[in-house]
Amino acid sequence: MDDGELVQKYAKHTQDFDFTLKRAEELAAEVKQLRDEIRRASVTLSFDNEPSEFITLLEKAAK
Amino acid sequence: MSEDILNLSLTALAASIARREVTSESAVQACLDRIALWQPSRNCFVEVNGDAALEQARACDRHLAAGGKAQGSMYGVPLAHKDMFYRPGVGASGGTEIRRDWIASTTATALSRIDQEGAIQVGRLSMSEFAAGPTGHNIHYGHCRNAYNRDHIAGGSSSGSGVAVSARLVFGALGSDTGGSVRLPAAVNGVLGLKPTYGRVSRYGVMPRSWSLDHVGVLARTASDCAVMMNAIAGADKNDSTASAHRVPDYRAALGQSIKGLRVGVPSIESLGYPIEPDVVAGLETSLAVLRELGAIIVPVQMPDMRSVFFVAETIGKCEAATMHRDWLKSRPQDYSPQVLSRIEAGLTIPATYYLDALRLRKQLTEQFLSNTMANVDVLQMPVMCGRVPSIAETDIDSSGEKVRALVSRLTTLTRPINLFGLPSISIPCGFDPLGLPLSFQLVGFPFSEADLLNVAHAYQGLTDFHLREPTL
Repeated sequence: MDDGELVQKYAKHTQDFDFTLKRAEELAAEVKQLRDEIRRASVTLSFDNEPSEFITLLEKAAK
Repeated sequence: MSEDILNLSLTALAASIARREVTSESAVQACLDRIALWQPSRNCFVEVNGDAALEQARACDRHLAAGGKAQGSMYGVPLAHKDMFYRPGVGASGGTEIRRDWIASTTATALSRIDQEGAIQVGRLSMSEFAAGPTGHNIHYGHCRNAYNRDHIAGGSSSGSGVAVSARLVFGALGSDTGGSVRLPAAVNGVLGLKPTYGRVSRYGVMPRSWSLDHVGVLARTASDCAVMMNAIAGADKNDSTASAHRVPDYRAALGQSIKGLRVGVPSIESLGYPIEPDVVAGLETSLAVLRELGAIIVPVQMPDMRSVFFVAETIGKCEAATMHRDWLKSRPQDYSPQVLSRIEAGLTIPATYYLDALRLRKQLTEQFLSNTMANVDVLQMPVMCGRVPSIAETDIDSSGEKVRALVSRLTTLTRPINLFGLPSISIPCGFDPLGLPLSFQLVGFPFSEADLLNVAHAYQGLTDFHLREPTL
């Protein structure tokens, strides 16, 4: 099963969306690029990091 | 006479109305007359409320004639706003077919604060569908067109805001910015566009695009005008938990300070990650010369991997958009343009763990940006766009996902990362290209440093006249 077919089945199974195989192949390529970037960058994250730290940072970094 | 009024700044007009040198009615009428001239070729308004605006203007004039004081910093001044700010009983289409006839039942906090300063809303401004396009194309309401050349893009998604302010149809406008949607239309139409710090301005009552990346911002012709608008809208809001309680300065009072010794970080063109066209580079150099003349110190800096930051922002934006659009994507896909549909769908297939990792990375990437790129500077100067203002035809792409992604990436690669960082940024005109279309740069600041950015823009406008140029019909 290629990536397009996988995304097609995943979208149907998890979201109940029916994508054509052509569209699913496009989505597969796009999601792979995003996923690869996130995986590459997230090796620096630790167990304790959480999203809300961003707001705290903005307040602390104000000059 | 009406030309004289229309060339006043927002602050100058407000002062003239308060002193009864100009009536609010004449100012509103001048705007309405000019809108009637420009709207057919630029399509920057979705709706014009002429009668209601004139009635409100006459009420202002009667109050002043009776010896009353101006009730607010924008008393009697005509404004208009992107068609996604809610007002009870009034439409807010968001540039969409789905919400064409939808009527809001709440008031956007930003709108109510503008109202409290006495401004008059003359209409609702064109925008990209669901605030999801950087060009101003809109298949449902017609494309909005550049103030300087109708064959070129108006920028998006606050398209009408940029055009209406530039063409002297109104004196200021609210917009929203998720990946560049205030700065891009400001840049391509030659006006100022300020995207504040994330949380500086309440998003309550504003159509969402991406909860984590949405910012309400202002577009106007002068820094002083932007400051007046920011004075009105900045601050905490009990209706928006993300609206910060950080102290709000008097932005207008902060203008006029010397910028001698200001450290301006300038990234090498190579480190921006995309090729930058020569005209844009020339505009940047022009602006740096002005900043130097004002006493600023130019400091070379190194940018992070902007493409990586861009993709982290894209992941967040797509997941959040897919979440809020899921039901409509299923029930009314035919009511989306192919381009917008194409941009949102990917979010349906990104695992939640990657979305949350993107949110967790946000703090880390922002921290690195502040401690590396911004470590030894006060502000950062960089392009808004990599190239000149493209034509509508050049960017009138089909539904192909790859082409849509390439276009969005090309136009927003230098703005979207700043939304991820949540940092304030202002787009400032710095010249014109050989076709006569505006060139602009952006200044990026530390969190909650909008007053500093406006002060630099104010000083810069004191030595330049790009903001005084008037587009012709």
